[in-house]
Formats: sequence, structure tokens, C-alpha cells
Amino acid sequence: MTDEASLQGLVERSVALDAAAFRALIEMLDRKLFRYVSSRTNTREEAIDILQDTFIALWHALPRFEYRSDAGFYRFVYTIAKRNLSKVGSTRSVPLPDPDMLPDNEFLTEAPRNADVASALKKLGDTARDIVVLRHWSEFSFKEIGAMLSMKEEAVRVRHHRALSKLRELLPLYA
Amino acid sequence: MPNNEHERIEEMLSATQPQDLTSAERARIVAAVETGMQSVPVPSPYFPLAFTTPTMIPLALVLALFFGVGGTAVASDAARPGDFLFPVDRAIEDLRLSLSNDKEDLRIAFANERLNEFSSIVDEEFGDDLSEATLTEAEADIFTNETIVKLEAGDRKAVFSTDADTRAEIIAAIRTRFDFTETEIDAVLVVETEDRASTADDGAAVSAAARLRVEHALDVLNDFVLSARGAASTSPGVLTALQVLEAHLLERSSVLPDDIRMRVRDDRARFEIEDENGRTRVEIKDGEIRIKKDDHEDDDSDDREDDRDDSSSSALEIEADVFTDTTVVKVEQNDRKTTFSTDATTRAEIIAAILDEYPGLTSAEVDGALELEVEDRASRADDSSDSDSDSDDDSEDDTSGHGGGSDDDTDDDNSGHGGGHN
Repeated sequence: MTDEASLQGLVERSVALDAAAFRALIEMLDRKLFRYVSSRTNTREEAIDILQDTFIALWHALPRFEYRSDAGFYRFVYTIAKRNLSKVGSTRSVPLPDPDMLPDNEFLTEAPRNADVASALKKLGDTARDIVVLRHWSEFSFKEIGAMLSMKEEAVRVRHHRALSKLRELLPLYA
Repeated sequence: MPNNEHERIEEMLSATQPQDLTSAERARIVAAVETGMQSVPVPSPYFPLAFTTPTMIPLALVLALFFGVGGTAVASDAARPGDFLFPVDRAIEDLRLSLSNDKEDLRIAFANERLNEFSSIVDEEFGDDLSEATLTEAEADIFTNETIVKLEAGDRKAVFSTDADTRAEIIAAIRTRFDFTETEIDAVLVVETEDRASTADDGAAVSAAARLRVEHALDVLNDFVLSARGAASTSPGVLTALQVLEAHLLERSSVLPDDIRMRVRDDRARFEIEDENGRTRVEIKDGEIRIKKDDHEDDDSDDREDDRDDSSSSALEIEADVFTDTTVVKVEQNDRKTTFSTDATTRAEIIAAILDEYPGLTSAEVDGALELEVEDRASRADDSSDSDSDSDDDSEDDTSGHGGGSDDDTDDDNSGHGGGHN
């Protein structure tokens, strides 16, 4: 018996066009998804627009979705989000979030300047950037990221490791 | 230690997470989504996106015919677009592939099949297939610039280079490429640390530079497909296929040969991997990925035919070579050739730079004619010239189209093998 409040339960009920379940699903996803979308948009406003368009597209696409695993569902959502992000323009040339979008950090002695982090992330390749953002901002597991990007988990780990090394080079002050 | 440094970076990334949505923002999103949920997107929310590119126009026409002009009658939940679209024709089927999740799996399976073909080509050319063999020896030399891993399984050998620099990472890197278990690898793996950079004699299949070049080319490819083909290129099927392709190429990139060349070609979303053994073409067309292997045997005539095909619709040819120091752009318009260099490195930037130089052209014309190549070296004097003389601007001595064509071919060949000589 599937737990109705689990991701699987919510997805399956949403597939059957249960609006209440879909609202709960949005609540479960919006944080992870907003963080990812933010990494690819120019302003907070734009990120919010893309996020709501993604949810609307998801609702209409769900009847054709068949739940197999959480990771498979994340991949479905990621693909739709990416698709909606293409409306912003080339995902590569989009600047990263303006510093106002990001919180200040007072607890680190050498607080990383968010703008520096944003511009360093921008210097990574598309996939590497997605891996880093999905891992550290959206907090997905490597396994889930592998499913989302159609990569083996180990390949994700190796690229993640490489991306961190590159970020360290780009941000020598903070490491 | 790198791991501590990585921890610092990870902490820093967590500390710079975007601020979460406020309750007001959340309420706004939920309200907008609820409104969006009520609307019946006909026939699918994907359609407005799908029709934004010229390639989709024929489909739009067929659909308009099929549904009647206006075609907004499919409103019931039971009547999903797919049910209607299925029998119409293959074009519709393609569209349906991008709409239906089940079919998307088929598409991915299809792409995987192509990729497996590609992979077996790579294996044939550059390394033994170690699958279903027992690992007998594994040696990893950690050089200052890269780690070279050599594997032996019976009489079969493979070598690759990786960034992994700890035993655990090396094992992970091996497992990424080959089907061995951790225990199996751990039992035979010998790791040595060398206090110098690797040289060609160390048996690296490919230099770190070549690997970077492949990555760069993939970035360019991604950028190109996303921007030039617009929304249609990000239909789930194509996007996923691209991701599979990229993952696959990245896994394989360490066994690709040094003088490999990848180029992204114009409107057909095609890129080529060329080496001394021939050319492998990866083409993304009509939502499919096609991989084709050409031998070098009749290469020259092939080249010419292809070039003619590509340019048949227009007298404009533009080639941009992205070198490490500059980008050299060659424009041939009605047999007149000009060359200039720019700092632009992405397709979009290069198009903008060309439009600055040639205000008479439209961006669509430039986009259609532009061939982009990424070279992993600095430019040389002869890169900016198609003839022997080192002319900077108008090469007036090129008077015939044929002359121009063969010059291009020669130039292509030179740059194609340039990496190997460096």
C-alpha cells in the first residue's frame, strides 16, 4: 500500500488529476526547483515566473507520466524545467542570479561574496554547473542527479569532483 | 589536502543557496498555477514552444488540417492529443514522441542504440573491449597533471587518463568506464605517484588538452543546440538524447585520439568527430540523433559534395575557428573572401561580431551559413589566410568558387591534424 503523502503517492494521485495532491506535490518540490531555476535566470522575478510555468506544464504533462521511481520523476520535472528555461534564452549565456537574490552570510569569517560564487559557477560547463547546483543548492543525491542527467552515478561523482577542483581554482580566497 | 579544500568549497556553495521563497511568493505561485491548471492547453502545453522554430511549421500545418483551422476542439481529458495524432504520419509521430512519456523512452532507447554503435566504433579504433574479461592487472600513475590508468584483462589492454588522484577516485573512474567490481579492481590495482607531468611516453591515450577540447566542443554543441534551435531542441526527447550523448562522450573522451576534431555545423545541428581514421558524424535532425561513420578513402570527394550541399541555398559561407587566443572568422560572399578576428567565443557572440562587420547581413543568414570549429591551440599566421600569401583582408586573388572550395578543404585538413603536430 503506497503512502499517500509520499512522493510516489502524490505523483500517482496527481497523475489521476487530483488537484489537492498536486498542491502538496508543489510544496514538496518548490524549494529544490526554485533553487535550480534561480541558477539559470537573471532575476528572482524571472525565476518565479519560470517556476510557475514549470508547475503548470507539469500538471498538464502528468497524465502521460508513469511513476517508476522518485528519481525518474525528478528527471521528468527537470526536463520540463529545462524546457521552460529555454524561454529565457540560451541557458549558457544567461547570467547567474544577481547578488540581491542571494542571502548574506555573516557566520563565515571570510564570507564568500555571492557574486563571486555566481560568476565562478558561470565559468563551469553547463553539465558541471547543473551537477553542482543540483547537488549543493537543490540538495539532490548523486544517484538522483545521475538519473536526471542520464549519467551513471560514478560519472556524476567524477564530474562533481572535477567541478569542485575548478571552483577552488576560480575562488582561491575561499578554499 | 584537496578533500579539505573541497569541503570548504562545498560549505561555501551551501552558504550561497538562493533565498527560499517567501510565503507571499509561494501564495502567488500557487495562485498562478491554479489558474494555469484550469486552462485546457490545446493540444498540449508543449505546442506553443514546439511551433516556434521553422522546422515545426510543417507539423503545425498538418495539425491545423487535421484538427480543422483553429483546432481547439480537443478539450476533454480523455481525448489526449496523442490518441488523435498517432496515425497521421511520421512527422506527427515524431511530435508525439516528444509529447508522450512512454514514447520518449523509445526515443531514448533509439538514441542509446545509436550511441552503442558509436561506442563500438570508438572501441574498435582506440581500445580493447574489456567486457566479460577478468581483470588481471591495473596500474595507475598519478602525474602532476593527470592520472594515467592502464588495465589488462588477459591479452586485452586499455588505457585512459583521468583527473582522479586518490585510490578511491581511481577505482570509481575505472568503474565508470568498465564493468568491474570494486573488489576486483582493488585486488589488482597498483597506484604510483610521479613527481612530474606525464609525457607521451607514459602511454596516455590522449592528452589532457584533447580531453578539454572534447569538453569544450560539447559545451559549444550544447550551447548551439539550445540557442540555435530554440525551444524545439529542448523537447524532452532531443534534450535527453543530447544528455545521453554528452554523458557518453565524456565517459569516452579519455580514449579519443589526440588529433580529433569536432565541429558544429549550421542549421542541421550536426557535429563531426574527425580523426585520421575517418569521420564520425553525429547529426540531430527531426528529433533524432544519427551517427554515421565515414572512411577517409573517398574523403575528398565526400567533402566537396557535402560542402556543396550545405551551401547550395546561398552564396554565403562563413567559418569561425575558435582558437585559444582569438577567434578567426572567414566570410565568403559571392566568391569574395574576407577574414577578421574577434574575441567572441560562443556562437551567439560570433554571430553578433559578424553582424557588426557586415551590417548588410541578417542574423538568420549568418546563423544559417556559419560553421563553427573549436581548435585547442593558439592561432597561427596561416590560420587567417586561405591562400599562401598572408593577406589580411580581401583575398582578391580568389576569383573562382572552385578555387575557394579546394582552398577550404586544404585548410580544413591542415587544421584537422594540427592538434597532432603540436
